[in-house]
Amino acid sequence: MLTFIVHRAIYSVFLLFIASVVIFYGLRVAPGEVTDILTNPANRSFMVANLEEKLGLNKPLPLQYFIFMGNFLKGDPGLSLINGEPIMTMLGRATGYTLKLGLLAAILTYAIAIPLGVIAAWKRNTVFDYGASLLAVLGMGVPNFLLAIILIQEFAVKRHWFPVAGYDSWKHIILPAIVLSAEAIAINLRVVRASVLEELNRDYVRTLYAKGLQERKILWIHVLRNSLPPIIALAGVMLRTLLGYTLIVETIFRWPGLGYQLVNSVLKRDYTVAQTLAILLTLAVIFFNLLADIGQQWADPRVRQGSK
Amino acid sequence: MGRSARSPGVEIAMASTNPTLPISTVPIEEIPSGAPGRTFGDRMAPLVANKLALFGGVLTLGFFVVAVLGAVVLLRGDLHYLYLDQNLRGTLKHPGDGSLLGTDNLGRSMFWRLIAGTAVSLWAGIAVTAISMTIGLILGSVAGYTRGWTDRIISALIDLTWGFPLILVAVIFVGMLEPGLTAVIVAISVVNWAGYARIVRAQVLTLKERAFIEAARSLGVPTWKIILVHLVPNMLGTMLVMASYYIAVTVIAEAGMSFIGLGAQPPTPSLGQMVSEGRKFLSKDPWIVALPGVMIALLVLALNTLGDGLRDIFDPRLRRW
Amino acid sequence: MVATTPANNYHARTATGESREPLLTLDHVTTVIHARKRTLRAVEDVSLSIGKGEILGVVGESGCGKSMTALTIMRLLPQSAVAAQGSIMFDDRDLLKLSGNEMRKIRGNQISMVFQEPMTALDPAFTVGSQIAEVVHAHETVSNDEAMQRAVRMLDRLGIPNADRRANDYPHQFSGGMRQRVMLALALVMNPKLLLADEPTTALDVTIQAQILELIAELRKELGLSVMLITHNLGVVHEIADRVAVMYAGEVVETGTVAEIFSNPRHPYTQGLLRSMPYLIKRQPTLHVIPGRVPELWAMPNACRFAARCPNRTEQCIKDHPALERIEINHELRCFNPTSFVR
Repeated sequence: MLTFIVHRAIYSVFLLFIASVVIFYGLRVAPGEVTDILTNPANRSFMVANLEEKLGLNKPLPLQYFIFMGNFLKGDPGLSLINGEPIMTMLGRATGYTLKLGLLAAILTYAIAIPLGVIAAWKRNTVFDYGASLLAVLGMGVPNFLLAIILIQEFAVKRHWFPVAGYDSWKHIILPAIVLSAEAIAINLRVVRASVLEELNRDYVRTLYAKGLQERKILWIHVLRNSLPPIIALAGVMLRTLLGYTLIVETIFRWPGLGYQLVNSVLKRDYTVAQTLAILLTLAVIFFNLLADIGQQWADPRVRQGSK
Repeated sequence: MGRSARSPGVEIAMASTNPTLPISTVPIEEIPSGAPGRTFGDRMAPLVANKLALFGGVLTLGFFVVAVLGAVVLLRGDLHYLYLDQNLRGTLKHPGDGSLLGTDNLGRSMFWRLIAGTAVSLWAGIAVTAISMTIGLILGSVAGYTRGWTDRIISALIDLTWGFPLILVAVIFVGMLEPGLTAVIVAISVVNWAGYARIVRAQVLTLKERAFIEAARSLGVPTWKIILVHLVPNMLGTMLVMASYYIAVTVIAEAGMSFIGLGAQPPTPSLGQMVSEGRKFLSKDPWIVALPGVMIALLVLALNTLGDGLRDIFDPRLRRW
Repeated sequence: MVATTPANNYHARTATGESREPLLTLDHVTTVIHARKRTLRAVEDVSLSIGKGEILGVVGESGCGKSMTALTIMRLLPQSAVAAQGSIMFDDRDLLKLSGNEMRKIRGNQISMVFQEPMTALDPAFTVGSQIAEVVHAHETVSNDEAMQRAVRMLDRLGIPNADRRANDYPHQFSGGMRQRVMLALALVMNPKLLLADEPTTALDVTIQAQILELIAELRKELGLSVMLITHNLGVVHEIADRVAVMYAGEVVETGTVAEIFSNPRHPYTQGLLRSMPYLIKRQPTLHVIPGRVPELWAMPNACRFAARCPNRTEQCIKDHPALERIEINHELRCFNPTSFVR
């Protein structure tokens, strides 16, 4: 198990390196210079030269890369090209917001999907099951931005239960969290249901009844525990997909998290912020990969212990 | 004790549904059992699956027809007026009130914008699939068949790209190129190929061991030919299933990107963009949002259903859940 | 047709003729399975009795209803199956009339069951010790320590070396024979009165088989345990059983003590089974085979179910259905035309 983690970690660092190079070069090669945005068209050429000097944009690209990475790893990726704010402070703030949203979405997802999925499998082919499946189909079929609009219209504009956008009170986080978790709930619901269904047909379940255990215990402790591996595997994939959705959801609701910042910085050609964020988010994805792989290994004791 | 009869040469009265012994007429309460068993629903599953494919197929076909129509309109310059023409005196008309599906805030025909927008979404999906499937097939087959260092490098690449969030990559790519459909298509292709490659590689690994491959190899058939002629046709079923899912994914991603303004740029119509523009008018003229929204949802539903049906026919191993 | 002896008048008798008090009595039990359009009669009018401290072997080929009988006793039938008739008396209570919770308290506690496939019968995600301790917790209020101690003691008694350490291992870390011992430990930790063993050795090596059987016999002596041993292997029955019940097509066709049945089987099916056992010492040109097939569960004839394959078939056999009758003190038979047995 330990060797596995080490291998994976080294591998991940390597991947991250490649990703950072690609992102860095990609962003720089883009047409449309940031200097265009920052300067006054009148005295362009002079200001541009000056600005480039100041921002270090006139050094050869590879050099720029190394300077950047050096600073990045030291924890100081520089300043935003647009408003001069230190990126680290921006990031710190934004990360907090994204984490809050993500955490709530994750809690919502599993708190709803697992119980519903277990019961749907237990009461297979009843009204409850069909209802849950319907919910799943809806969750997967409706694109998240559409859901967001519908929810905003219904609950924020028409009924004023929630604010439309912003980030001041706890009310601001509810709608975005629902939208973010919608698809995850739907997919997890189906995976939980299928996994539990499969486990219910296994021999050991009959043994559990023969032991005289209560049905409740059999279902929620034994069967659920054995149903976990596919759910954990899914979690890894979902985590990464959710990261992508965060971008859209945060933008719609103006939730100032990492996603919102990234989209903004791309729109405004704020290179330093964009590349830092891009690399950071890529790091996050790779890290989640690692966690998911490890989690999957753990969940299956046969792999963990090494079977005879 | 004589010779036993080799087969029952004697007719025995067979009681088909009549029980041999009378069952008591006293109502017996059903004694609850301990464990669940197969139900009627389980046995119906295979039949339903094919209906799934049928339903999904028909719906997708419908959308495809719309997309072809839309493509014609988009490609022929002289037809652009259909979705571009503004009629500032006839804005925000409700569906049925003069025009077929109403007009938007600039008086443009919702009907034609929907057709064109659907075409954009579906063709984007097809373009992405064409590109990524080709790359995925090639790289996956090479990796699975040749193993060794090539395999390790390609596998590493696959692992890196496979689960990447599409939107994130798309946004980054938009940053590198400019906002527009091309950026979105390139971005999604860059990620999606890995999904195909992964499955292809796994399938090649198993197919490789089969006798007919062994035979071809011993006959001296060159590797590229083996891959092209023997391996690929065997994987087409799986590819088809994946394609339908991935097109759906692309449609959603493209719509999302257009919604936040980073996808297809005006004047090219896009369903996501239409939803975004229509937000302001949601209270009084909801169809501007509802129509494209429903189109997207239906298209995705059609593709997913088709994928599910195809999967049940071709390869139950690919179950998403 | 001679009337069937009501089972509740029956007293199990040992080989020497002593009477044992019946512990469990099945009285005209019928279990049906409701399939899509048909009703399958898996267990037909079965009347059996097991005495205290007795090992009853239930033999028959696959699909003859022996497993279903055991599952009916435990009330562990799949959803589509129902025990439609009869009574199962245990401790002066009819098991078929108990509520779900009352039955739960009996399972694992007074009546236990072990199954055929030790490989898949244990929960792979929990340690062996915790699974045994769980049985204790389900029926008594004890501390975790106490339950675990009892689990370890049970493992030890069943011959698992280093029981205290092994209790923390997972099922996949045990071999097949060991796993079956774990299953037995699970089943016996609460000192039940009756053990239903459904083909406990079929999936195991022959040498391991012998060990497990010996173990069961020992435990019977030590704990006063009654055992219903279900198997298709007559050798196993001969090895440790006191009495035998032969089942065919969902019915009991012959019962008796082991000595009686093996020396003097009267039912043609039993005779066929005995003849089918190959000699280990003398060479045989061919192996004996009972021709024909078991009739389908939904198409049972209204006559003797074995008639189609029976060498002694008469007119009556294909017209009437024979009932189970007592032909001797230790011998019941369901046949119109029994013959004596010549090997």
